[in-house]
Parts: sequence; C-alpha cells; structure tokens
Amino acid sequence: MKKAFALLLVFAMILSLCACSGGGSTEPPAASVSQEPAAATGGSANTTIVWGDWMLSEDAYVGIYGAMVENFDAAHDNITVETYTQPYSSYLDQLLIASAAGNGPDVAHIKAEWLPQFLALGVVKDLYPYVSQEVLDDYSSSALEAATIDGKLVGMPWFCNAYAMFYNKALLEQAGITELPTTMDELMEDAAKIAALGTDENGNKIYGLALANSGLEASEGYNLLPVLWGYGAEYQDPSGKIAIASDEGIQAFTAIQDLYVNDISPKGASFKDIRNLFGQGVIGFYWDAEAALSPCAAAAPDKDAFYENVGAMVIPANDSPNGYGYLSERYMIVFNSCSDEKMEAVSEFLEYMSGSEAIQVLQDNNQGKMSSRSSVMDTVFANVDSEITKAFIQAMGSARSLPSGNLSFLDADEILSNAVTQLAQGADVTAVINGAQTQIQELYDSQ
Amino acid sequence: MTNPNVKLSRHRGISDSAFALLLICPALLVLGVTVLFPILKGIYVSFCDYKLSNLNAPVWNHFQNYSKLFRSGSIYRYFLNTFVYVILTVVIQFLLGMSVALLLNSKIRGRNILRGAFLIPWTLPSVVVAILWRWMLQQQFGVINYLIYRAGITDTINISWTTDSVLAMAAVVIAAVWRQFPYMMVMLLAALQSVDQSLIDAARVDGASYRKTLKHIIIPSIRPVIISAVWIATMSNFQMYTIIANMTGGGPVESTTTLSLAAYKAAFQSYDFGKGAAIGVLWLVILAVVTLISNKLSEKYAAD
Repeated sequence: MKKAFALLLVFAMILSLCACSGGGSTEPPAASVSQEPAAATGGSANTTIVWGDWMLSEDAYVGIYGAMVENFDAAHDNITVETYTQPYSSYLDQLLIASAAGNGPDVAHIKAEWLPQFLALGVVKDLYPYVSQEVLDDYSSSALEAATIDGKLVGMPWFCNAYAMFYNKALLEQAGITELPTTMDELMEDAAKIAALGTDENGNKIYGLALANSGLEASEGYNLLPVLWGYGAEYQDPSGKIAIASDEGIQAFTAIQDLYVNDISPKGASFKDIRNLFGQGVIGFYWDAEAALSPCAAAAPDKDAFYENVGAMVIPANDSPNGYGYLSERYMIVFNSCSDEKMEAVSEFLEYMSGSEAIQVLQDNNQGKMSSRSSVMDTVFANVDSEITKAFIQAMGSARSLPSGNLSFLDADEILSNAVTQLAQGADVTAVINGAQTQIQELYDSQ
Repeated sequence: MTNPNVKLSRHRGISDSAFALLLICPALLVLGVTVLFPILKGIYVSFCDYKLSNLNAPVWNHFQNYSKLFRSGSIYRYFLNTFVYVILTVVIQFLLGMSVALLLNSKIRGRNILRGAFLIPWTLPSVVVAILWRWMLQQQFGVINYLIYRAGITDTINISWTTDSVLAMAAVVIAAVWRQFPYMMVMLLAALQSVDQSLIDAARVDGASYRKTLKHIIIPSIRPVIISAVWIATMSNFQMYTIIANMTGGGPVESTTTLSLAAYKAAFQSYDFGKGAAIGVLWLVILAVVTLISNKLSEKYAAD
C-alpha cells in the first residue's frame, strides 16, 4: 500500500513537471516595465501594444523614454502601451530569441546594423500598408530607401545619431592652431601638434585625436570609417566588394597607425575612456554623438568651464568641403507576431514616436537625436541656440549611412578593430589591411 | 538470510530495485531534460549549418563546422590560449595559496585578521573583479601603471595592458588569480590543519629540515585535498568567461580568446550556432579527457 502511494506521488510529480513545461502563462505582466515580452491583448475598444527598448533598462534614460510613452498614452484613450526591456548587453540576443519564438514585443527599437539579423529570421512585418502616405512623404527619400528591402518597409526610421567632431578650444590654442582643420590631412597635422604639447599641468598625457580601440565594444571598427572616407577610400566598391585595401584605404590606415604609434591617440581606450579623457581636457579632437557630451562633462573637474571650452564641427574630408560624419540610425520594427487587429494602434504609435512631439522630448533632454522627417527638423530644430547642436545639424546634412546591410557587418566591425590593434602594435599596414579585406570578403561571400 | 520485505514485494510483482528506479524517475527526468537533452542537441547541432536564417530547420552538413575550424587554424589558437590561461592561473594560485596557507597555519600574530582579509577577493563577483582590474590596469588612469612607474620598474606611465598580447594575457591571469587564490588557500589551510602533528614532531626530533618535512610528510598528507582543489580550479578556469570577456573581450587580436569566449562569440555574436556548438563539443572532449586523467590520478593515490 505504501509503495503504491509512493508511486502515485511519483507519477503526480512527473505529471506536474510535464504540465510546468507545457505552455506559459498568457497573463499580461503586472509591471509596466517587464523583462519578458508581455502577452498583449487586442480588441477594438482598448488595444494594448507592447514596445521593446533597451533604454528603458537604463536609469539615465528610463525617465526620458518613459515620458514619451506616457505622453502617447495620455493622448490615446483607446491604446495602452506596455513596455519590454532588457539590458543593452543582452537586448539583441533576447529579442532575436523571443521574436524567433513568436513571443517578442509588437514593436521594438533597434539599431540599423541589427536589421539584417531580424531579416534573416524572417520575423519583420512590412510597414508600407500601415503607415500613412502623409508620413511617408515627410521622410527623406534616402531614409526610406535605406529601410526598404525588396520593396518592403522593414523598419520605421525613428531617429538617428549624427556623428560630428568635438574639439577642445584651449588645447587648440595652446598648440597654436588658429583655424579649424578643413581636410583630413590638416586634422592629422593638428592632432600631432596637440599631442606634441606633451602633458598637462597635472602630468597627464595630452592626445591629439582619440579613436576608440579597446576591443571590448562593438562599433570601434566602423567608427574609423570617417578616416577612410576623409582620405577618399570606400568600405565597399560600387559592385559591393570590400575595398578597404585600396591605395586611399592604405593611406587612411597608415594615418591611423601613426596616431597610435606616435601616441597621438590613446591605445586600448574604450569610448567611455575617451569621453572621460575628453572631459578631463587631455584630448584635442574626437568624434561622437551629441548625447555623449553629458558623460564627458560628468568627468570634467568644472562642468561650466568644460562646456565653454568645447566646440563641435563636421569631421573633415580631403575631397569634400562639407566633410563626412556617419549616421547611426535607429528603427522601430514590427514583428509578424503582432496581429493585424493591432496594426492600426501600432501605426499610430509609430507615427507619434517618429513625430515632432516625441522627438521634442529627446531634444529637451539634450539627447541630440535628429530625424529624417522634415517636419521634425523644421519644428524641433528650427531655432536651436546651441553652437554644438548647430554643428550636429550641419553634420547631419553630409553624414553617410553605415554600410550595415550585410548580416556579417558586426563581424566585419570586429575584424577592422582587430586590424587596427595590429597596426597599433606596429604591424605592416598593407599586409594587415589586405588580410582584413580578405577576411571580411570571405564572410560576406559566405552569406 | 532472506529479507521478508523483498519476498513480499516480489509477490506483489515489483522488486525493490524497480521500485527505487521508479522513485528516482522524476530526478532522472529533470536531469534528462536539463542536462542530457541540451548536450545531445548541442552535439547534433555541431554537425549542422545552423544560423539565424534557418533557426527552425538546421541542415546537416557533416563535419563542415569542424573542418572550417581546423582549416582556418583558429581552433588551435583557442586551445593554446585556454591552456596557457588555465595552466598559468592554476599554477600561480596553487603556489600562492599554498604559501599563504602555510603562513597562516603557523603561529604568526594577527593570523585571524589575515585569514579574513585574504578571503575578501573571493567574496566579490567575477564581473566586479574584472571591472576593478580593468580600471586598475587602465592605460591613462590606472593605479598599477602609476605604481610601477613610481617604483622605477618601467620608464613610461602609459603601459597599454590590453593592446599587447602578452600583457593582456598577464592581466587576465592576475585578475583571475587574485579572485580565486583565497579558495585554494582555504582548502589547503583546512587540509594543513588536519595533518597529524605527531608525525611532524617526530620528523623534527629525527632532525628533518622544514623542506624535508614539507616534502615527505605535509604534502603527502594533504595530497587528496591538493588534487581536489587543483581539479576544481582547473575546471572552473576552463569555463572562465566573465573575467576575460569583461577585461579584454578576447583581444587584442584574439590573443585572450579561450574556448568559452570563442564558443560564445560564434554563437551569439556571429549567430553561427553550428560553429559555436562545434567549439563546445571539442571543449567537452578536452574536459572529458582531463576528467579521466584526474580520476585515474585520484584512484592511483587512493590505492597508494
């Protein structure tokens, strides 16, 4: 009898285990910011949509991005937005896994360079049928072209970070630089002059031009593209072949090597390190997004003095008077798992988030996010007073999109970063860059 | 003498062993689902073309993932990096742990305070240790650069620990040893305290030096603990991801990319799950061989 009872218990346990591993709960999450994608409820009376964004997991940004959602909720009685977030380091992985399983949020904020991964999964909805013609007409044609694959609008361009160059006015003055550089050659010469100052009054080394190369962060490779473009080189030729080992490319990488070998740029520094160093006043030039100025200022001994001492300009180029920055574009993508019944609400959300009201929230919080919608630029950025912001608006005009359409772009980014590390160690430029070009081409060919 | 219960259960059609097996069924089921199934799936996937584009339909591609790894030569580098990292970390932490354990086992002043102080690194999470050491070794702000420059060891204050292949490996080994040696020390100290004092006293009476006492009495007495501690340290360092990923990210130019980092990068950075699984399977084979050797050693010394 005892054995029979024990066996009964065992089978009860097995059954309960099986039941646990069966389907998950379909209850929506109680909290508004969830680590798991919420199961959204549809319905014409009140539609709930789930929006995913890693910014909501960062203390510095949750208030800003949360405010945009609150404003949307307040203006739309029949739509409720619930949020899904993960820390930045795991956001992409988790979003890929969740969307592959059909459990992703309805809408998600992604970087443009992540788009190929989602396209490879085949989980992204075409937005052309859902976005109004009025909004589509408001976008620049290049922004829509970049987000259109095989005739489908696979992501709604949300905002973009234009990259421009910050400079330290005091260091330029000390180095005897009276005019800002207008070509890449001049920039390199000026950077060398600044580095020649040696050390500051506290004995800290002064650098002329800082380029991140810690090996720890994505984007350290493609952050070098303005140097290539500045020397007239291209990442890919018109046929799509990798072309970094062209004569101009070798010239650009030789200049980059000189920066490291001659201690004009810090070695092994991450973007965060560079922001700290720039804040401390020991870097002459470096490029970044406008929003990076706040962390720089946080590292400065005197914030007010820092802001007075910093200027911004377009990254110069040898063949273009307007120079070249690059755009780190952000999209809102909608997953196939989002039901058609919810698409009307999703469409309203997308149009609101890319519109003036939402971008104004970012601008009011000094986030430096620009838009490719002309109405937004005309209203939010029409009367800016800040010289820094003006420089970024100018940079936006000539900035180039990243060539991030290939699934292997992020791997290529790491290969470039590794190549530059080798150059910093004094390796032969032609051999290293030819090797990197072959490696990247093989990766692209394997897709 | 026959057990009456066994007889009884046989009469009812179920033996004790079958009954016991049924009782452990839930545990076996859990183990099967959480351990065995992922291993088998991982082995299967390692023979497949398995990427984001065919996430729901991996395609069998025989040994292509393995052949690519060996043809490119990258797997040899990952193995070499792993062995260099593991051997250096385990050997240094053993020597350091043993030295400190011997020190703390002697009658020195402040012994209890020192025991507590030495344990502090062990209480810190690996990710904190990695960030801490990254900052201490940072080229521009790092205190280590400042100290060694002030001490006259180097003629520059701006040593770039993470862009030099040798220094990068040294940096991760230093951080890992700092984090792990207290565990080794505690294990060895506990073992040292269990050594029969009368044997040591007898050796001293016979005129044995400290070195000879250590070699012929103390170390043989604590050998099982040494094997266990070294084995645990070896295994945990074979799997080390956190410290290396957060200090160097496997760089510069893959000079600190161990098997764990390589598998992670292949699977979750390049989204080539087949290649990631292939690295994982090779890693599994190496661990199985190391485990076998360790077990043989343990058996040998147990028999002695």
